[in-house]
Amino acid sequence: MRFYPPDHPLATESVDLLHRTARVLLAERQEIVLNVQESSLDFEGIPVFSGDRPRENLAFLMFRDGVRSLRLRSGLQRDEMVALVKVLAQADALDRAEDDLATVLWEQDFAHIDYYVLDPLLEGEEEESTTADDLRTGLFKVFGQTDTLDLAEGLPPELAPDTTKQDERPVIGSLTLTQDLEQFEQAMRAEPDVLDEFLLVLCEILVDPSSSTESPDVPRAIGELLTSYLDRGEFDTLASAIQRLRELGQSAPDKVPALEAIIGSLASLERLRRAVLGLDGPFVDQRAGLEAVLLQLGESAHASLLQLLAEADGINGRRAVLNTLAHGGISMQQIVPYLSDPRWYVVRNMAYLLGTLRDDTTLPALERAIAHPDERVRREVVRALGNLNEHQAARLLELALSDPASSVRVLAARGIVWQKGSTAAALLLGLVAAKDFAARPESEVQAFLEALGDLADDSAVSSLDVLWEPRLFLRRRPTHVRVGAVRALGRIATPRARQSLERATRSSDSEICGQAKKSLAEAYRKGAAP
Amino acid sequence: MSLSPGLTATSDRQDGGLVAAFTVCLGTAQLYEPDNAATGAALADVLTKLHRHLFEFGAIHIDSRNRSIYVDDERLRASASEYHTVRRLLTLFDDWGIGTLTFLSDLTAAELSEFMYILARSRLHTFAALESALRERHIANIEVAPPPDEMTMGAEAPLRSHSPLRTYSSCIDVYRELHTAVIQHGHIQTRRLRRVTQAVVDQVLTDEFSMLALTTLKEFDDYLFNHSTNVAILSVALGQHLGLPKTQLGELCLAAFLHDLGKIEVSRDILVKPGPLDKREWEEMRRHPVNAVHLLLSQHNLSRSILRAIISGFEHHINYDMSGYPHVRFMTGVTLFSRIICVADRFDAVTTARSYRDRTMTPHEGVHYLMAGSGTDFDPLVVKLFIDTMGLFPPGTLLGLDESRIGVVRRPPLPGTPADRPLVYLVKGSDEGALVDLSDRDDQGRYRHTARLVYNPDNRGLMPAVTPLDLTG
Repeated sequence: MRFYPPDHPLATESVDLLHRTARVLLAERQEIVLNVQESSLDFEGIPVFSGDRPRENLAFLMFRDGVRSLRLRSGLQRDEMVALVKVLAQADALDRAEDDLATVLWEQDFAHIDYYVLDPLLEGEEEESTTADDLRTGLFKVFGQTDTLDLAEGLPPELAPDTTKQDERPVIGSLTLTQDLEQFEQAMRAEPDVLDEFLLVLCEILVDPSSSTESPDVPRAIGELLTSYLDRGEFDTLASAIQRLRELGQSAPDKVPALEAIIGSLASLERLRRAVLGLDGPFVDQRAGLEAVLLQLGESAHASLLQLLAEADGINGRRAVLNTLAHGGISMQQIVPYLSDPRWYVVRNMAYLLGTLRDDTTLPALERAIAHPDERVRREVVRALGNLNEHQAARLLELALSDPASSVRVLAARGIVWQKGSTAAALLLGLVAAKDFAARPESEVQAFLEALGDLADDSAVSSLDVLWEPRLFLRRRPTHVRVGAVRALGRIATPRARQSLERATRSSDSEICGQAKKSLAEAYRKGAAP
Repeated sequence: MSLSPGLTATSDRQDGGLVAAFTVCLGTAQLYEPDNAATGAALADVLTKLHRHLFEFGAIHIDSRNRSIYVDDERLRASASEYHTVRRLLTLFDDWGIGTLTFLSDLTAAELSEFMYILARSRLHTFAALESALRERHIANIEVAPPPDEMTMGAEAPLRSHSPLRTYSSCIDVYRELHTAVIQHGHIQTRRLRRVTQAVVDQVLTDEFSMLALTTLKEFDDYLFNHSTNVAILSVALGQHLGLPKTQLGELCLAAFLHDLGKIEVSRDILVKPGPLDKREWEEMRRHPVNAVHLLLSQHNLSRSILRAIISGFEHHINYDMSGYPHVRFMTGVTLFSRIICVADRFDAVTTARSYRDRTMTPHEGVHYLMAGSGTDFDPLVVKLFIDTMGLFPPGTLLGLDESRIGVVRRPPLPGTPADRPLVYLVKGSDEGALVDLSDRDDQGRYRHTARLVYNPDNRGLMPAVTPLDLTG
């Protein structure tokens, strides 16, 4: 457990083996007592563990902290064994000003493990201090004065015991009723966590008018507390804590700078790294919580998040950062420098962010990025361009219709549809009519024909007819091309397109016929619409 | 500084139904004869529960060790409402010297009834008497065994064998060291604090009455050291009665021990001023809860127990109705630990002689003071628990008994006995030096001794509830 986390298979197997062995022994003898010597652990007088190097010698570490024996009792549970091993494994890492093995073992409150600690302060090894003697001396003095005590009656009359009816006084048993205790148990269950209470205390001190000149301990402690939430993945609690601090600022405006400094201290790269990267590790279910926190941190976190976006290779972390930046008002100026990053995925993410800005001023940056050698970047740029509604964006998308990568061309075709006053119909028509069109990937054919259907008018009908109609002496075009052409006619929906579709419904090809009927119905609906 | 709230691993049985039925049955047997319907019903309940277990496991072993009850090697974790049940069973095991009680599978109703009446009605409570009674009445399916002798079981020494006095004086020594350390370099080493406060918890769990008696040693050292130790002991005793688990008692004890830490930064002239404080002095005094927070925040490792200490250090003068000090803006309530510490603190403070007052309250008046503030200054539940724990005449109360005898209350009434009938050590009059239990009755059922007066010796409130002899062991 020094080297592996508790849930690591090696750690688990070792503890299981230890627990099983202990249970077998305990079934025979009810208890196992290990006596701790300076460099060995003895069982029934025989050393069963020894070592020379003190820092690695368990016996020495136990002996040093006063542990003189360890007793395992029957009924020992696996979780107790795990806790014991964990404590012993960390023995040398304890902050000795704060803790030692004796204090940590005590806090475990084991049900089936006892231990004996020799404490010089509390036991016989050290001379008793003079305090005990002082107590005795004082006591002798008081008892020596018993005869001369001034015995004033200690109670006002209304509180004095009624001496006339001693035996008739009602018997008083327990004042605390079961009902009281049950209410108490309920209240205890509802009592806030100690960290929440701690934060509240710190907040009270922070806004105390008389504490303005106090030490920086309180802001530092609040910062540490918030960091501990962040480190442990308690993002919902952290979000509430930040919310509480902001509310506190409303009632104490002079403290706002200090409070914002505390909150802002969370936004450093080092602090956010563990949390963001943890979304693809221990905090896998906490994305929404972290996003809430990151949004609360606002602009102060943007620089770190952009940096983390370059580091995060897990999907959850990346998505959390992207969502936060997208919704958190990231500026183009912060993004642009990263467009020159040599890592394709960094540029890709920046292109995504530029797209979320939906701002025409991002066009120059996107124009630069669309020339990126990696198609994954160009894809994201094309997506971003699709969010813009500007002549230059349309022009770039038209260029992208001829991108070397099919996936980029698909997105360009989809994006171009939304460009107001697009002149891409003619371009699309030319591409669709090209000889190699039918040989393109199915998704691309579909995207181009859909775009054409959305943008074109009657002038495209004859070209589409060519695509779906059977060819004399030639092999039919692939079904997806023919079906796509029929679907495009449905989108054009002009009377001429409908006529073409009427003909298609009579096709002997059931797929063409079926799609034509659907598209015709769509065309009539579209034609009937105002 | 880092935050590291601790974790604990325990293996505890949650269901105390059998033990509860057992103690109810015992109580019924004390009051009623075997042919009474209530006794019959209580016996039937125990028998049903026992048979359910016996059918499954063949035998049931109930052990008392480390101040806990174990049923078939599983520790029984008592909640607040079950605490008294478990405590009564522990007391029963202690009284009779029982370590393990075993019920075997062929247990009959007659055997169980006989056994209950032996426990409930016998005058002589010794292990030998119990063994011989079981033999004489041919109770073959109930076995008893004494507690194992720890020395014979392989360990070199018994567990946590330090004495109450050693623990008490160590607390004072450690507080003195703490005081010096804070004044010299402002840094606190909590390791020794943890050791002594954990020892206090162990002592209260094993010998609550001795520890409570020691809280009446009030005048022999610096007030702050004694007071902090006393408040720690009283708080743990209250926490124990609330059924708090040992780990939480450890946290409570440390928090109580450090509750007045901030006073180290208050001028000594103010602390010992023999008269009322002026406005500036009061302001300084009222800063001590905040001082405590700042002192504790300097720790490198803000463990869960230190966090609790910080919270209670800040809150212990905030009353139940949120009056008091420091003035708070956001808090809507005070934590349980602080509510407990608040009661323990005020009781110890009002019953301790101070230079600025001529007359100190007796412990009995201290109880009335708490009752008067119940619901406003103090949590009513904690006040009730305080009286349940300490009795109406807490240890140290000087009582005038009949026949002009005067005695000091040495320990509170035992559970189940009237709250105004403690154990008294006679210091004046006939039988001087004898111990008198005010709950003892004669053959007619009348109390043999009764408290008639409460004295205030030299107006210092109380007498120590321990004798010089107690402090020589």
